[in-house]
Amino acid sequence: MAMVTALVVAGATVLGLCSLLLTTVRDQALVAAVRGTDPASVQVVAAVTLADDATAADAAARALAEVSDTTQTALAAFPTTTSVWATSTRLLLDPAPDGGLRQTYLLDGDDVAAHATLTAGRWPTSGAAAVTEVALPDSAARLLGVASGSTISLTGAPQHAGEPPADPRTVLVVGTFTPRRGDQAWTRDPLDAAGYATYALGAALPAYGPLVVAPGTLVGHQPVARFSVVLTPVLSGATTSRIATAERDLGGLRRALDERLGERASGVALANPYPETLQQVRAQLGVTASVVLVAALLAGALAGTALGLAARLLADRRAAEHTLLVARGAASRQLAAHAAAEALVLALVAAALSIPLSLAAFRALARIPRLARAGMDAAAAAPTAVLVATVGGAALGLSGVLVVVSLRSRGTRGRAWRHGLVARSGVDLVLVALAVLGYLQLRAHRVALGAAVDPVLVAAPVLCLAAGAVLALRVLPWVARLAEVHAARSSRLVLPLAAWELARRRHSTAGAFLLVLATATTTFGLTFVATWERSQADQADAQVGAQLQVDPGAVAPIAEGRALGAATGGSPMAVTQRSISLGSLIGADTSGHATQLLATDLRAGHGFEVGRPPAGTTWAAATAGLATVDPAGPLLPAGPLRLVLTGDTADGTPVVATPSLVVEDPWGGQAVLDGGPVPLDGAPHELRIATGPDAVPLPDRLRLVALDLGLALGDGAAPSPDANQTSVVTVRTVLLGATAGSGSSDWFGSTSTDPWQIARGAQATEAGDPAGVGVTASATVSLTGLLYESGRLVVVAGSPVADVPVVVTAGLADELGAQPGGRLSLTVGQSQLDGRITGVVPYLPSIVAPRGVLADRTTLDRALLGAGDLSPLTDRWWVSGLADPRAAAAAVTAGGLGAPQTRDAVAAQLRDGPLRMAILAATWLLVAAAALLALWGTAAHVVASIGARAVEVARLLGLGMSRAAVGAALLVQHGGVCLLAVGTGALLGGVVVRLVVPLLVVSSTGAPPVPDVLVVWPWPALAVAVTLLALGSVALAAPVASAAVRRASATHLRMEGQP
Amino acid sequence: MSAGAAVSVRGVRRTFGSGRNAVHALSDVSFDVAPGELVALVGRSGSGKTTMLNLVGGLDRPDAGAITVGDVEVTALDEAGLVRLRRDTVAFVFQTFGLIPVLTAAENVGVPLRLRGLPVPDRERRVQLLLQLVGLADHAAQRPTELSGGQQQRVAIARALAVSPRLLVADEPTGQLDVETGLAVMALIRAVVEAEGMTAIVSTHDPVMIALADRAVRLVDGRLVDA
Repeated sequence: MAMVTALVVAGATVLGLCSLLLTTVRDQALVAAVRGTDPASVQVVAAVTLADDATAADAAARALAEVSDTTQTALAAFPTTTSVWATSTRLLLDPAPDGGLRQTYLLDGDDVAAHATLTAGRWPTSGAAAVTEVALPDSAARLLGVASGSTISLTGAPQHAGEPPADPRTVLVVGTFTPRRGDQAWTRDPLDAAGYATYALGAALPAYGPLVVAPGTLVGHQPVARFSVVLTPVLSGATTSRIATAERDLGGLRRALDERLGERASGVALANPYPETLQQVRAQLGVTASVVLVAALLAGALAGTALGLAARLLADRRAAEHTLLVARGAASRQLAAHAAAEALVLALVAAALSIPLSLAAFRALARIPRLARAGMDAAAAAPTAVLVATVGGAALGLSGVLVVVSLRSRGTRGRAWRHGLVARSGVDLVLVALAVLGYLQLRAHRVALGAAVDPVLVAAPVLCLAAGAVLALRVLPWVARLAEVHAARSSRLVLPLAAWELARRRHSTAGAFLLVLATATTTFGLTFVATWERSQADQADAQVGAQLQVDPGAVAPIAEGRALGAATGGSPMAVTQRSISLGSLIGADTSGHATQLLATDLRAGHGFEVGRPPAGTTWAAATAGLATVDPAGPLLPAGPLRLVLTGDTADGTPVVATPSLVVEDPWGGQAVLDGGPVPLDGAPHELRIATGPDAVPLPDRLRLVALDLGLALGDGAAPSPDANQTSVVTVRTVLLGATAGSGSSDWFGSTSTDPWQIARGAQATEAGDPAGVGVTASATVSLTGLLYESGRLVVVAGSPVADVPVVVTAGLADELGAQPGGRLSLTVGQSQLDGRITGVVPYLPSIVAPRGVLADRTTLDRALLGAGDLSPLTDRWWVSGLADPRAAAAAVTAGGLGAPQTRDAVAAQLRDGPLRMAILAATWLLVAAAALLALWGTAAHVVASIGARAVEVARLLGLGMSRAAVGAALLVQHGGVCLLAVGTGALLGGVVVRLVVPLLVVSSTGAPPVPDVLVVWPWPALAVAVTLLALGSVALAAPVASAAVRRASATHLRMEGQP
Repeated sequence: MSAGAAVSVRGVRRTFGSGRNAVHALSDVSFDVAPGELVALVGRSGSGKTTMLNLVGGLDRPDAGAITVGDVEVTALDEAGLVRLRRDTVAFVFQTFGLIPVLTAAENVGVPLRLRGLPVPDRERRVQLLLQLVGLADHAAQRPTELSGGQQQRVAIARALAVSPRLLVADEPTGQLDVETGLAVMALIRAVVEAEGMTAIVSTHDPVMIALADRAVRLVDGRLVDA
């Protein structure tokens, strides 16, 4: 009875622990996940554009206060920091030199300085100065020709037709700044930090700005056109109740804002990502819960099986007592009532013991460093209603097994046994049918459907294992039959006797079911953990293309590669990753993902090693043939760039050329350097090229990859407006101090993209020059066209690219019906390129969308330049070759080089994040429980089966068999069953792993992971586990068999009846 | 020991338990059995018959006294010697037949032969012969549960004769059989003892069975009262 009680306690404890993983740990995970959420990602942003009649200073201030109050109330569950940016109504600048109107606006933001780098002067203050102080972006300052100390005259623009402009005033420029690149705060600026736009602020006028004023000098003092309130919650103190409160309150924020602002706002844009973030967290918790439930069901099945064996032992021990009771007239109902009462008492005792044991086990689990780091808190272990209900239910259910076994054992052996066999066959068939159905459902949907837990999907693995174990038991006797045949041919007794017992004794394989199921479960659990961890790493690899991924920061593009290399000690690589269109395939797919283009350096030997390659190949093989061109173009000297332009027109028409140089650094970063206008009068003109807005000195090893000559008519040019007058324009550009590059010295002209076809037949040559390298470009230029539109003569270093070889994802190939050799029309930005498919791969690194296109960056760049598109292609950086990615990421952050993301951190988050900790805990628990219950149940079975053979042991001794031989026969028989069962279980586990584990390992949202799951077999762990189970179960029989042989005496020979 | 006795029992005492709970199963029992003699060990239940048989067959050890089977002093044998004795010299027939339930009749008969390591063809021939001897040649493939009580006991006798023992020890061999079947079994034992020239000690309390024996040895409360 002690063994039975212990098994019920063990089973109820394991299930109680699973309930804690599903409730307490779920809450802890939710809290830990929210606390770990980047506050910026859940900022509440309320951007309000005021109606024209509500822009007055007082009214705007009132509206702003109300919006602040409403948003803060909605987020009252958390402490918050508030940022308010307000922009004035339109202001007119002094007219441009050509007389054109220009507009600007004031910006009053309380944290602008935190989102920009001051490049000259200081930030405005609201001191006693008579004039308003402003700071403006460098780009706007350059275009307006102002600097620190300059003054700007402003006039209030009329808000309504016929309204006179407001009084003029003057502001003082006290500083200039560069907005931080990629900083989302600048989306609140009407010009998106560009400093200039040809059309903005609701008027068809060029706009410059913002003119940043000192905090507090705009709102309440001057008219305000729009404002935005950003609330950033402090999530470090998140609790389950606060999380829920905020979710509820924020859900009504939109309506509250609309109600309070009414007609005063012409537009309210609300970014409220908190509920969606919580939904994503809950979806991940749903995935975790599904896996925990799988483990709990398996543990429950094992506990029930082990208990069945122990109950049979108990029934055997009580057989005499039972017979006596029946003989003395006890009715079946009375016996059933007695068994039920006993089970109830057992359940109560087990529940009372299991609750504290579950809590203790929880605390022990929480002390495992990996789980503790993920946020599992031992202190949170406390009895809950769910725990009590689960443990109570489990104890009652397991105790019920005792009743069932007790009642079944009463039947006579003949007819009842045959009836049981038939019934068992029926149960077997039903189990197999259910397993097949569950598996098909699992294959169709995978284990999790977001936050909801599907019982069929969760039960499928358990059904598969149980059905497999049942089928395996059908096979075991056939194996025993073979041993039996061998036994008949033997002249010895020990092995044949064991074989006979195994093949013919009714209950000899009863314990095998538990061992098969437990070994299969252990194999399943260990392999699942290894596969799951590998998949998380693969998913991290797929999400982050290199050890370190950096989204560009404030550093000028031309210096980014060098700066990243210096800061991280790794090898940076510029990467293009953006949405594109493919022919008629425009926009997003049904999952909301647009086609993604990925382009990076794919030349052989340049280390495109980005996670697990597609099955059966390598990334090198998959991307072979994509890099059709090598970098070309002369190498520019370090330091200031000087060049000499000499040009003319064939007919002497005065034309002015404005050169722009597309340069590329060794890491693939590109920049466009602009020069000033030069008359093409046949005379040499020397130019110093500005190196970007921040005047960063040119690093060495820069390569000129394209030259863009903007063309305009010079003074005195008077081509005929009626006929298309053309002339050949020739421009020789000598790059002083440059040297010929290692690649091709060929050049070609880009196809003209302007509708006027102003420059046609462009071509260029490169030649050495005593002062450097000369590039001579020429084209037939429509002088008439220059009357209406400026022209561009673009020449590109290297040979032209006819089409861009690409590799596409399988999802895209399926959608397009495309295959290698097929062609694609790629629309990148405004340019259309021809693509040629060279291969199809299951996925592309850093692209989570099903539609992905991979191209070589240099090849793509050459094709785009050839189409006249000079837009920089660098969207992000990949840095590899890092010894310590975490330190490198810290260096990137410290250097303000951008937003870093390490592959290791993503993998760690996916593997060890708070939302996943219960998966590991449950699986470890399952493996431990399987081993424990298997050995426990096997011990019960051994005691029952060998104990029942005491008389037989005595007979064998009486026949002259030695005690050692009898003991050996018992051990061989039991060991044979155990080894067969463990071997079969391992095999079954392997089969179920192959079928089921790839469907259980899902992404954080429950979707199929990218890349596909690769089953990982942890051979050492499996070998240890299977060996332990095999040896442990065999070893259990040794003392029992020894005791049985030792105790066997002549007394047993007088026992009545057959065993 | 009397010269020429197949079995000699001298001053055997066997007590189970100790102190106030001690049960004196046998007290100073002595008797001899001549070679080829069939002796009935007679007495009521609890008189010590089975204890006596177990001691003679080496299944148990006396607290005092000596037992000799042929020229082997059983009481001086170690465990291995007792195993050899049971395997080669003494054969048992139990009241409950003592068949191994998972084995067929032929396999049960073959068990002692397997213990001796007899080659398979020789074993099969011997098993067939013995089953014919006990009239169960047609039931060789049946398991004990498929045989009647008399048939089971005949299989047990065939098994006992398998290795041609010098001494057959039968403990109430007819105890679970009806009278007719019991007589048939007893007659069989009588016949094989004569045919094989072996010595036999058979415990019984049935007067009809006693009549088939050469002589009877009576036990009363563990003491020999008539030898």
